[in-house]
Amino acid sequence: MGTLTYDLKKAITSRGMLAVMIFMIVFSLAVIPLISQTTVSFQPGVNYNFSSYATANGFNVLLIAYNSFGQPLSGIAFNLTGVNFKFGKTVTTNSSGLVEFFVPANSTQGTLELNANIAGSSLSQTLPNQIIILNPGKPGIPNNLASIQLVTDASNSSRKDVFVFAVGPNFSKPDYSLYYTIIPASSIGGFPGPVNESNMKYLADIKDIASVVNFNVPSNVSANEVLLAAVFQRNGTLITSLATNVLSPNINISASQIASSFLSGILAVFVPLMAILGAYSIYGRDRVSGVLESVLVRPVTRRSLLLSRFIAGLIASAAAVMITILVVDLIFALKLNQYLSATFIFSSWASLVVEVAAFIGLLFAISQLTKSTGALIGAGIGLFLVLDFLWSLIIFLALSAAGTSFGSDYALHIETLLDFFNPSQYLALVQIYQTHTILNVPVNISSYGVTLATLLIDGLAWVLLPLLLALWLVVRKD
Amino acid sequence: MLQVQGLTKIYSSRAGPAIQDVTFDVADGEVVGFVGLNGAGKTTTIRIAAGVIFPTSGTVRVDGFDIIKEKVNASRRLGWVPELPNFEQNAKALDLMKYYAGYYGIESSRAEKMAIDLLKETGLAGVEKKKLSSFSQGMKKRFSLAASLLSDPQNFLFDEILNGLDPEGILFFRNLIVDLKKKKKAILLSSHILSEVQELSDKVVFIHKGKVIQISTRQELSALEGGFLILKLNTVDENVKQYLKSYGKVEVEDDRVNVTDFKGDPSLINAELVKMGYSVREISYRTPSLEDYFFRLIKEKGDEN
Repeated sequence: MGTLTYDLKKAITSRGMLAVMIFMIVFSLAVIPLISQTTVSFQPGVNYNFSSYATANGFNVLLIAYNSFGQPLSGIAFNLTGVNFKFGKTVTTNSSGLVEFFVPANSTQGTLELNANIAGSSLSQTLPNQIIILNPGKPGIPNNLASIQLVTDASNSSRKDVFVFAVGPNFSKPDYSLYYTIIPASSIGGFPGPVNESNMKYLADIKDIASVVNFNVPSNVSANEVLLAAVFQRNGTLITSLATNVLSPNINISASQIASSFLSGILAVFVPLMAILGAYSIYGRDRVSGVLESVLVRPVTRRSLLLSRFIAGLIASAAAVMITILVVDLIFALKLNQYLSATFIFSSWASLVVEVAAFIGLLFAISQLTKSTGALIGAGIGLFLVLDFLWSLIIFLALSAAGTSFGSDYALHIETLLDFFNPSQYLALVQIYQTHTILNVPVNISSYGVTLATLLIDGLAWVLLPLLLALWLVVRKD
Repeated sequence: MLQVQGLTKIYSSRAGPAIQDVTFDVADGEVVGFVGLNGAGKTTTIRIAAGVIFPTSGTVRVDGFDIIKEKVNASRRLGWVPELPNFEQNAKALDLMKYYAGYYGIESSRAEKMAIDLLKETGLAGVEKKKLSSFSQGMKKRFSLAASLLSDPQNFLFDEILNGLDPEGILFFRNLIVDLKKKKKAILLSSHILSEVQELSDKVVFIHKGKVIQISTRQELSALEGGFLILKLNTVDENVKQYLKSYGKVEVEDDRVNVTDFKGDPSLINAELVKMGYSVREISYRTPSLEDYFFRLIKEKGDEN
């Protein structure tokens, strides 16, 4: 039996490595179906809309704040300042998500503009300042009788609802009708004839200021078609309409997006553990327990022996990672009826192999410095905890201690930079390069140092440096 | 041929050297006994010679190849059976033998037959498929020997191989050493059982507190003087003591007289004492053993260290 073949067999049958691999596959089987059912994209934070009507000496304004499900948000404070006139006020929404206030103005002043800014930095980040236009018109008649927006269904996030904000004269309750139709995207603006009730389907009566109307997207809707929704007065007069795509991106979720998140979030945690356990089984344990001496007495140098075990461990781990990724792919195919791209599979696998090589090399090096299995196991656990499991927490605590706001651009720069010095983050870096996003925030990745060249250098360094360190130590330590 | 030259090993600067300037040779066809108390440095020396630990200074040459700088060539010519062989517990005997054979460049097809033959030769027939974890200490030593015979090396390092063996095992290894000697192999044999060493060795290296304190050939050992004479007389008086003092150191216990470091002819002593009117009830004489010699050496030279 060839020596490498034997080492390879020893690595493949490593119980620790097999256990983690099986765990990852079982975990994937259990978790991926849940992810595919619940993952949708929606806009977090606060949405708001407004209406106003003129009075003899100013304007009455009605603001509504609601979330991505169309649910009213109470206690939302708006800082209001006049843009082209003198005004300043802070108002807060009530339990219905509404707040009504008066803006004194001389009727001769014409159109006024109000700057509405949601108080609180975290909320203001989600929605920029908005200008409220106050148009003098017929007293008591709101200039925005209704508006339509698509929101996420609260009970089934893969579905959409239609949110309607509507008011009657003097902000009384409305009495309107909501109609819809599905039209080709190319027909927007040129809908056959004017938008009217006769060429649309009735959906619901609108009798409240805020209404969430369930809307079942017909199963035969294609990606090239859009929803056209419209609100009509009882006499059939069109108040407002909205044409929007209902299929993308919320229902047709990319398998690669979910897989990317899954692989970086879950597999990237366990693959280093698999590498550490594999390295312990094929070299570390033998080295500290003295078993390796029975091999070392043969015609082989220490470096050749270490290299042979390293290659065996790397091949076995690479195969295990590929099998796991392919199983994940199969699960995605069964759940979402689409396969991951070959590019995505290869880049994820290659990134994880870099991580595996680094952790095997690190454990080999540590095993040259430890004298007992207990110390080596302890060091391996420490390596896993610090570089892998607790890495994000450590970064968070370090940034907090330094007074840096987590999630800020500066913090993202620091975190990305530190990731270059941690092999367990290599897949995350590659995914930043591929998606051009950090924590789902679109960024100019080159300004974060994430380029093809830096990734290649980092990957090469993590494959070679720990191995070279182990090869250096093996001829200096008994 | 094994050449150990100026070998020094320091595990920890606080503890001092485990061995210091150890130098000796083992020629082809020669069995060299390696004798010392526990912790004297025998195993450290042998482990360095086997190439499993590094010396702090000094060299070991195996048929002229340096065990550190020319490890592959040196190890190819060396077999090592440690006191407590340590193998992969989950490995099966035949698989492990074939794995080791790979390091000697033995083809897989040849390796299996060779491994089976060697296991049989070393008394391990029928255990080819068994895991090493099920082996007794004696079986592990036999397995270690079988593995070391894979390359039919010219040189052997046997570290306390007789320890923990049953009489059959001891006999097996004793015969093996005799056979290897006939085949002109160079053998370094470390053992606590000094009678075995004395019987098998052509030369004995005595090590104490990490230093070689004496190297004696078989001829030198066989000519050792200073035996042990025990006498039981009807009465022990000053005349007897004075008479016996000229033959060695005299100690009296009741009617028994012990003469250590005895130099003389016991039968002449017996006749002379009878002539002097004493009744000799018992007389016994023991020639000096390696053990006696070893302890005398420690007493004489060990304290110099």
